[in-house]
Amino acid sequence: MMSQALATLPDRKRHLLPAALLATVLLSAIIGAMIENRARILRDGTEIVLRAQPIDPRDLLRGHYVALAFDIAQFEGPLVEAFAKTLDEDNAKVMDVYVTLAPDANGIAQATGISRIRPSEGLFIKGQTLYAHRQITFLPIDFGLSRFYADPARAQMLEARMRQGEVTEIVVAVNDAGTGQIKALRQAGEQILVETPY
Amino acid sequence: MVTTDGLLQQIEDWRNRGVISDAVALTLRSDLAAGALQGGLQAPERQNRFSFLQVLAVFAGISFAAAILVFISANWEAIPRLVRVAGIFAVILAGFAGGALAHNRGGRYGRLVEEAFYLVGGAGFVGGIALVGQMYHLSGELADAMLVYGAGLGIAGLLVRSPVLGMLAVGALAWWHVNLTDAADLISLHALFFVAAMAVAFVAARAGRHRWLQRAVVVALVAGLSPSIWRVLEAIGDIYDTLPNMVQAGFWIVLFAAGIAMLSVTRRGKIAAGWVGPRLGFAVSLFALFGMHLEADTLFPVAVAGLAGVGLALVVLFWHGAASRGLRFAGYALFVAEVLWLYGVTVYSLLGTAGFFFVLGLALAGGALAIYGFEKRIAARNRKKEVGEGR
Repeated sequence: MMSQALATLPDRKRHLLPAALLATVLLSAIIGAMIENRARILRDGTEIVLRAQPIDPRDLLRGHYVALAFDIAQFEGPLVEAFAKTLDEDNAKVMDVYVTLAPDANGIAQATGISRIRPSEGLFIKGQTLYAHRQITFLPIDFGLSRFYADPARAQMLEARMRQGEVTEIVVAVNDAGTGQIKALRQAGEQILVETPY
Repeated sequence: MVTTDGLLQQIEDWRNRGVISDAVALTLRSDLAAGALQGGLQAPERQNRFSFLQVLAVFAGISFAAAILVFISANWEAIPRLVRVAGIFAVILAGFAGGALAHNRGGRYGRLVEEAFYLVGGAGFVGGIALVGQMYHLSGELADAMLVYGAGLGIAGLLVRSPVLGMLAVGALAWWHVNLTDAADLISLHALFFVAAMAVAFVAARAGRHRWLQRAVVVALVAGLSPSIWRVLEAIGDIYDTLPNMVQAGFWIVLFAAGIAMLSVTRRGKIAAGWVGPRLGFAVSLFALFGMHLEADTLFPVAVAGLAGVGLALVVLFWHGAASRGLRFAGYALFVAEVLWLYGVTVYSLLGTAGFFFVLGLALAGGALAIYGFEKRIAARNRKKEVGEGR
């Protein structure tokens, strides 16, 4: 056993630096791939505008953010009834869903339909619902757009303005797969922040 | 298996025959004792060669890692994002390349310094993923990122054979699995992946003879697969909640004192109680400390709970760190947990906390250097004395 241990020592010494560099490249590549994936949506995605309401918390690793609830994140009525009819499941299930959208007279995106199947054309956004079955009458959908990170001072300013009742709109870029990426934040018609790809 | 004693006799034989000099023989003996060939040999003297420098090196690494994470969390818009990303890549490179260089440099303290470097590199990766989430307003919870953390740190840990990164990786995977909405569902793809990952980690830990990583894998496996344990704890908590506040506080204080007392009476030289005594004492005081933290801000102020945690870590290190490797690492782990907890409860003053960890890191690194110089002088003096006596 000891001879094995001794035999591996010089070997490890020789290969450790390349292994460490490989680990560096691998971890950096994971981060880089995540960045490029998101930057591509910002660059090439189709823009939609969503109306939002605020809440206020913080994340241990990522700091302060403005929590956003969207008008099109919670559904009931005919859209849900039509969606429920397309489901086979009797039991609640986590599933990806696609919400088709059309802009209203003010340019705000409104939902026109919900489907489990990705639409072949038109404007749509992908989300996830934690429970869906064929008896549902209410359907919350998470589009992965519920946080807007900002430094503490800016986050507090945004929240204060939202509480004062100023209309907050989020411009979202959506790629061909329906993945949304927050691109800009407007308050009372004023462009507060526009994200660049990098 | 060749024992250390056999090797020591061989060294003595070489010295007597003039194959190696007295100084070389002394260096070989002290290297063996210090565990330079860690894992391959079990030197009886090794446990006694514990040095406070090693504690400080590890603490400095932990503090720097915490500073990196708090820095990301502070979301400094004054620094452009790409510069922050480049900074993260540089931290990862510095951590891993630094660890490899520390390993190649070897020496008595090489192993722990190497791990401290890997820890900083790993923190860079964790901070980098958090930074991407912040840059692009990704709304996932911390638990969602744990799969990426576990996979990244695990593969990196395997590449550089780092038990510390391995422990962080299995911890992250357990965190991820326990937070799944259907975590209790054992017949599923995620459970299969989790168990397979733990199996790989266990095999790697055995191959590398990292006993603490083996234990960590077992703990992570149990934690990841046992969300129902929380239900049992909740039931016990319901009974506790019916007790008056004074009784609750008194219970934790008495328990903590009893644990410290057990640690004190089982110090080496006082009672030869084996390892069960101090371990039991540590477990009791740790349980009491856990209760104090649960009650922080209601029964106990945050500062009291924090000081008790750091105090317990130091007490264990001072009294039992030299004699028991297990308790030594438990002391380190407690310190890490305490730092993370304090970080969590003080996150509202982000910049102040980052500054605190940075200064703490610098102070510990400075302290480590001073003690290193001091110990080196003492070692040189002893070596001179021993060589003199040998002749």
